[in-house]
Amino acid sequence: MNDKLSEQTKQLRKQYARTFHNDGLLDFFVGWGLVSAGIYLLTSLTIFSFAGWMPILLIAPLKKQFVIPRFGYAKFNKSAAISRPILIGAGAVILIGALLVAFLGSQGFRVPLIVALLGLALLFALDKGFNRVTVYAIFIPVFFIIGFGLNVLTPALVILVGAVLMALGIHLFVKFLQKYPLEPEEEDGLS
Amino acid sequence: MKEDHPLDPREISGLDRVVHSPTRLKIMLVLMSVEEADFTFISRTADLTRGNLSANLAKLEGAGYINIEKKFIERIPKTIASITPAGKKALEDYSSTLGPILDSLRK
Repeated sequence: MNDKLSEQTKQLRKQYARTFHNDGLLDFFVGWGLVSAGIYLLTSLTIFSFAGWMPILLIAPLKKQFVIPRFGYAKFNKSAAISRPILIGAGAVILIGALLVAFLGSQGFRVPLIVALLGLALLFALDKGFNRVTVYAIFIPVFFIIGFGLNVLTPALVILVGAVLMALGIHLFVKFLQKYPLEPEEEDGLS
Repeated sequence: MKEDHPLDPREISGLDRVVHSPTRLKIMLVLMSVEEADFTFISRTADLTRGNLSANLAKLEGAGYINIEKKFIERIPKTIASITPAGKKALEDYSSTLGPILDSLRK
């Protein structure tokens, strides 16, 4: 393919992918995770350590329910610079390394697991190639690392940041629904 | 205009008229950017009405530049379009023919 056309279609692909994921769901669930983490820090109730990540399972059904009928369905061909097997391998190395350091080292679980979370989140962001995923993948672990490092990470602060992200998610979701109203099902005229 | 590559108006006759229509060019560019897409996605991203999109998809399919199939995505019937190798080549040829002409106008 000639270079200019290739570059232009790559830009279009990014633009479509961005719009497709600009529905606020990611922001809402990252916020939800932080709010749950904050409540867990506050109460030590195990249910909140699960409550943070369990709703991730809702993202796909919500996309099918709200996003695809409004914006349409598209399958984006991956143009990741790093192949998925390499990313999965790197993820496995990070996890095994973190577990080894956690079990054999003397610092406990907190630091190696946060570092592992940062590594895995970055790999996920590389695989997805979307800017907001990358921003969250860096922001959340760095937020915890700095927070723990400076001893300023109070449950209230974690809940507040989570609540702000949830509000941003709801705002983006409402904007998305307004921008892309549900169109009546029509015949497409194609046999 | 560049001396070593003068503008030749005859080259314009070589443009593929199926691709040359702005509506069909928009559809081709959308499909070039994704592996496959449904009717709603193309209509949203190319900003086309359903009737206009339908007519032009049929023309592109007739030229062999796109494939159209009815698929069930999550149990919902969808009209899915994807660009064919012939379609990619047509778009590349169009870009290679028109690109130098436009470049020489800018100089």
